[in-house]
Amino acid sequence: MSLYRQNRGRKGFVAVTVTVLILFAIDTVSGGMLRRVVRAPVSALSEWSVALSERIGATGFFSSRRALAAENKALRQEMVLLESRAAAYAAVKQENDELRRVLNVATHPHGITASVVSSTEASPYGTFWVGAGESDSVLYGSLVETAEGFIIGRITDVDTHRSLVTELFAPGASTPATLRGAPITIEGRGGGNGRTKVPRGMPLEVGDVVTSALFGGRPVAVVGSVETSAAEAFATVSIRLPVTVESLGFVYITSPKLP
Amino acid sequence: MNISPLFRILVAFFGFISACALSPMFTIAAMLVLSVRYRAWEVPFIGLFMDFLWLPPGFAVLPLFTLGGLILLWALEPLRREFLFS
Repeated sequence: MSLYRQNRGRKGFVAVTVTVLILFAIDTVSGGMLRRVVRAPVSALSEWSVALSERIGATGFFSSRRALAAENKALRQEMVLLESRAAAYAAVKQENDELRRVLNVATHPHGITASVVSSTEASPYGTFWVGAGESDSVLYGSLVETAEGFIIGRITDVDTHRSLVTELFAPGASTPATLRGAPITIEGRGGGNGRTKVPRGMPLEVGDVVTSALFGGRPVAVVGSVETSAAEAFATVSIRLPVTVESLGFVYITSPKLP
Repeated sequence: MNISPLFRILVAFFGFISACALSPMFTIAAMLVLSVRYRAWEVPFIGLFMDFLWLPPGFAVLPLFTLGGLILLWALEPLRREFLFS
């Protein structure tokens, strides 16, 4: 048996491995130079494809199906808006109760509105891009919120005109929070969803607001569902953002430097 | 007509496109299909592309897709050689 034939392809594999590792090292050492080169055209392509699909739909070629789809979409958006408003009302009420107890008022930090310029489903790390960057005074670590003030995540990479947002409930992330006064730890599941365990029998309702001291007691999610089992001492609580990450078109970025 | 090279090109192209806009499961599927069927050097580059697009900077999160692509490239070579396709 010829050993040379068995090792024939391995030189190519070694070259590919070394090349990949070198590219990754260059990107890491350069502070993300290569990933910015990759992201720029992809971001532009993503925005162009969305605009193209909207123009094709506007031609009316798929009018009958499109009319139903548009109505369906409008109704879903209205439902999402009503759910988010209800959650925001609950959050405001809870905050009001806290303020009455401690007699302290926190001012809402200033910020800017930024559009979501990438798919929110494609990332396996719970990240997505927004169309604001250094030119808009966005800083690393800036908070990203929904319009109703629920924390979505933080800015973890800043380019000139776009920034990368890492979701609070990214897969594998753990977030300390408070639910009905009880401390909990939320395990992120991605897509604005998380899960936690609370003692069985703890009074909970779907829609209860979850806050986090990491963000000054601001709301981070609501209770989506509660699952109990007579065989377990804990109840599994599904936590979610009141607005799905996929439906976000715009987010609010707050930072000390923003006007 | 041998469609195998065309199939490989299409699957690799789909892998890159799915990294941009589709669920990560599609990208994983493309990487798996390429790794099983071919001695596909493009698989680690698909993984690297995925990580360049979505991986947060720093060392808090491992570049799973880059590492996964390299593992698929190397780990499936004995399988490809002995049991599947030459």
